[in-house]
Amino acid sequence: MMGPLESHEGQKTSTHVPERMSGKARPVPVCAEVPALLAASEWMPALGDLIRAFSGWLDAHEESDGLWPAFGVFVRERLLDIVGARRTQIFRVDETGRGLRPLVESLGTAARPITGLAEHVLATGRRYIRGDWTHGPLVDALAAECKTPGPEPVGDGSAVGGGAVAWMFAIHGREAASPTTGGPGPALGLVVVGDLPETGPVDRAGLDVLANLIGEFWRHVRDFERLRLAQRTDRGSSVLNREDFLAAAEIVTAEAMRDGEPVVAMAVAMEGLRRLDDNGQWAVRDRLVREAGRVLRRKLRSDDLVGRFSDDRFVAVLRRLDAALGRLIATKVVESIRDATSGILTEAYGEAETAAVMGAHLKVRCGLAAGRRVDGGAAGRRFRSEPTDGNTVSLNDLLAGALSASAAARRAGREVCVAPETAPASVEARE
Amino acid sequence: MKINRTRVGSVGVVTPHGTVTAAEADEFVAALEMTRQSSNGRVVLDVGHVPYVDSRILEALLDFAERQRAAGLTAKLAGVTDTCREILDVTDLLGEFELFDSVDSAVRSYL
Repeated sequence: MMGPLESHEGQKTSTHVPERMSGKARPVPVCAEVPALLAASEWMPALGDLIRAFSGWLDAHEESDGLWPAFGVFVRERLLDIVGARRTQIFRVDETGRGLRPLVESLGTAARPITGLAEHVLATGRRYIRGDWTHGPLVDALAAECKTPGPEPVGDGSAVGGGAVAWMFAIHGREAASPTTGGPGPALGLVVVGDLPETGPVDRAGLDVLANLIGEFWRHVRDFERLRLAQRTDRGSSVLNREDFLAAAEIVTAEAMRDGEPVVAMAVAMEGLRRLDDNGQWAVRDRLVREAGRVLRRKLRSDDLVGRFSDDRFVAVLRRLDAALGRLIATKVVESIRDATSGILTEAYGEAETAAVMGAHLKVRCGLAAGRRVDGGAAGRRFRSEPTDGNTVSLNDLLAGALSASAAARRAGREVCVAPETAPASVEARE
Repeated sequence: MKINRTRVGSVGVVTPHGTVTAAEADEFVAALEMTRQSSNGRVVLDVGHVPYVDSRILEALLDFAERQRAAGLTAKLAGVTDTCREILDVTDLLGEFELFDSVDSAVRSYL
């Protein structure tokens, strides 16, 4: 496994051992087009500063929700400071592994397909530096077709359009690196630099060390985020615990109010878990809760918030949804949880007993409450519940409405209930 | 909401901008239907400027898809944002539409 300061392409850069360290004469750079103004001994301290800067940055952002965009800005600024890199864009590989999304969302959030030079760099782990003859004609041809997808803000606040790529390197995870082929681990991200000074302060070896350091920072941020997520996550269901859910939901509803978007609170109640507890079927019960959490995470959208509210209840806040659409989604969520949990019960008790006993007792019900922003006289804009009864509501009111609606669904023997009943039947009727 | 209707060759392009309120839903449906008829069903709905899809828009989109299907055509949506795609996905309605990243690629699909 490579250390943080080792070169990714060790053979090519092995001749760049700093003079003081090797005791030999300074070698001719492999990539003559990236000559260095400074000796390694002079730029090495800058890398030490970079490590300290990253440590300070992480301390300052450990509570930040926008960790990745801030990391993108950090990397871009440091590359500008240290090697004069401009038109730098930083992407993460999306969940499908086939698209790139910008870390800094101001560049747009649409995924770009991984093609051409980016595909080569991500697949092989090799770095591209313009003018490096070791790339060979095929890679040079890919690079000739590759443009940075500007416009993009640069360090001085101006914006520049797309152009040729000067430097491109990928970030890979270490966990699944192939021991047989020596190939890189799973691709995590890509750094694309449009402009590097022709006479940069560091040589090829310096760029490699810098790229390695950024890779280490990236993996560190990822691990840090995983740890933070684990601290916020309910272990039984892998969704947010109540405290963190409520904190995040406050922000989400405030943003929805600010942006004038509708928002829906959803409460999902699983009835019958106590019976399993009473019968000593704790393992089955835990599997049901875990499965319900998995279904909720999968069925809801990426920016929806899901949390475990109590032992047998989940809550969610869904942005940009009105009651009618919320109801349609809730119906599908309930169906999915019922299907998934039915499989667990069948596995545990067999089809006959599941149908006759356990299935009859385990019910999933969903309550919804919709909030929206309205013009509210001198007090400005505010939330109020639907139907409009003149009372403003907070997140707590929304959640209380959703929980009451799930109780109402139980009393009425229904799977989904909206509080109050505002959902037109037209969308549902198509199902 | 503002609705732009343009023409690219024989293909009509409808581009709504902003959210659709209840009062504007009928106007949106009418604009879509007018374009559909004037271009013999060769129509692209550019939803790239709609910030989110609520039930009114979804309803209009499904009507659009049904009318296209009845005419032996598909409903082509262009500029589909992640927000829009997710809502179609989570409601299991993705299959009702043909999605394109851009208006150009949607228009080209008619050639």
